[in-house]
Amino acid sequence: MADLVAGFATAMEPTNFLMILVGTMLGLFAGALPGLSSPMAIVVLLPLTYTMNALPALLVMIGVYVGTKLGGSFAAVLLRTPGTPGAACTALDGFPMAERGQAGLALGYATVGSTAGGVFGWLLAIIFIPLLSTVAVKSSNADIALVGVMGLFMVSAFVRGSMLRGLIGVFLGLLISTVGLDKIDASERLTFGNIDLLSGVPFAAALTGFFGIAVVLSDVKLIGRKEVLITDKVNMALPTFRDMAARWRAMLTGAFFGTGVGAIPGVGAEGATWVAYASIRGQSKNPENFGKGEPDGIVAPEAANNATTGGTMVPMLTLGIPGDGSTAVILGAFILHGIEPGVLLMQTSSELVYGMLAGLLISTILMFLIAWLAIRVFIYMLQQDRSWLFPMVLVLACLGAFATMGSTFPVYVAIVLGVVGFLMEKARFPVVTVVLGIILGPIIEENIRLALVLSGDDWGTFVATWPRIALVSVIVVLLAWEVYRQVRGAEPEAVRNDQPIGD
Amino acid sequence: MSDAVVEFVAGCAFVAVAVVAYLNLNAATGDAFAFGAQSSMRATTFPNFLAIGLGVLGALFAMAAARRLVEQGNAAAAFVNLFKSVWSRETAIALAIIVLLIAYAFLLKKVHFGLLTFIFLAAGFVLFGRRKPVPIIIVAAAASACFYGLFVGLLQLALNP
Repeated sequence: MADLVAGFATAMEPTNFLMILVGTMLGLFAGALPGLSSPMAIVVLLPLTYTMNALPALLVMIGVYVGTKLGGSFAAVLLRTPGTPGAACTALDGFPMAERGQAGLALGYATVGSTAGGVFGWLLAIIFIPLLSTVAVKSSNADIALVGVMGLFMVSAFVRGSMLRGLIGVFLGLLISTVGLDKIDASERLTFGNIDLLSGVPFAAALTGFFGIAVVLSDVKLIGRKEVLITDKVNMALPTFRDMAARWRAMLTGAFFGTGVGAIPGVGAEGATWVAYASIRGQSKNPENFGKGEPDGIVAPEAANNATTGGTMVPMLTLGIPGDGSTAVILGAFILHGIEPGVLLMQTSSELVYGMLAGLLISTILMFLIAWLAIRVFIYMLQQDRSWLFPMVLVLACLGAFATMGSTFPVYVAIVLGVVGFLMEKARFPVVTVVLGIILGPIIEENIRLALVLSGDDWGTFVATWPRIALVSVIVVLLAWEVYRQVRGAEPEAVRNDQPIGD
Repeated sequence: MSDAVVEFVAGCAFVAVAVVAYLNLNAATGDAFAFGAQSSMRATTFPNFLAIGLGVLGALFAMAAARRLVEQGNAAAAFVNLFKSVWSRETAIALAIIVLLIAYAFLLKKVHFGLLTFIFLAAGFVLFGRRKPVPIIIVAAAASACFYGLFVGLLQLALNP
């Protein structure tokens, strides 16, 4: 508790608070604009945060992460086009409400639902992170390696598209992570004789390539598209306390699924919102109202959407496993600031962790206030063409890569990986799996090798304890399921028609 | 139909990447694919495993796509249609953006950062559909001045000042 209070004291320092405020505002803007994703918004901030201390840099990213969650619902309600994948579900009932002339109220439900979900997710995060970290710190190298491998398999299994696509992305990411000099015996791997590659693929270049350049190239199809709002004269109409109290079930369902499902690596907000929506519709006495402007159909997914911000923090801060694309970039920012994410994070940087957790709650409250007071600004932004924005994003992506080494080599790497990411998106491969592979690759390899050294080259060490057997079992079951599906036939039609993931 | 063709091409591309990685790993060090109880995991063991894994997964993916193509029939026409559909306005713009990015990276340390960014932004605005020269010049100038102040003045990146 004392750590948490100290975290709030740190987060409320003027510079840190300003970072949270700026980040939340930027996040709301980025979320409101279809085509701009949360990871992309965080990536373009990377070059601006290099010279900052770690905490303010991470707080501005946390602010963006939280803000984009709600920002995405503005477009979902007023355009029926979600600003972020996590807000797709909100459009089902938000847009019909707007058609009935209740756009302001629909936005109000979304805002209150998001805030309630965010607070609930935060509460669970501050309970589970210290508990899990005490268990995680006792983990051996074999445990850490298996958790990393299981995380990647779970990402592959739950990410949009088939597991085979996810696994291909993971293997590619892991392979990219091995480029450069080996840490243990300093032999060259996959450098193709290039001296610049001896230190590996620059991490910031990978992030800016996959989440910056690739996204802009994919969004070329949006050129010239004019967004037509159902109405541009909207004032936020917050629901009454009694109305929201009557919707406790929707809020709690959304928040519960958002936190729980959000904590599963790879599922992210989008999966959580659909599960919450299906659940609350199943519990409703009037399920036929869903899809026609039912407020619970807005509150539950929005609560789930923002509750994932707490849920994804749990594996990220205790195990060093990101839950989605945005937390992958935040985890990357840890590395860029010289902080090693993983099971020891709470021991080595508890002040930072609690500062971030405090920032998460402050950002959620600021998100509510900003959305409530400045909704018209976001509605104005919604109508703007992205043609002014995308070239600036490209400049920031290039400079984000350049700043890591002070040379143009990472910029070229970012361009190459951006093109790779663009082609993968075109073929509907989830690029987030590649990024997660790049992040977790060194952790997994190092721990496998250390575990083998410590056990005298005994591979049996990976099934030597019950928790390890459980982890291996999960991996085997996931793999067996995919093999079974492949033997039975091709991917289901629903998967084939999916859009590429953006978050 | 084109989905299966795209997937077949993608699967083959991943196999090609895996083969190149495997050959490079083993040509550079002569390290055999060796893991197990007999020897410690060597530097190339993990990437070799990944290269083989990527190759197998890519081959599985390509084979599944090929099976669908055969089931659907007329695979040759599907390939021709894919290559025809690749050349669209969107592809041309994406290619132009990539060329612009490469030029920007190449000139980043050679040309004055503010001027280069102004030209890049102006060209980018045109590529993204803006046509009126006055707003393009004003926004590009204002944005490049901001970027200059931020990255050269404040953050002091080693750019051409």
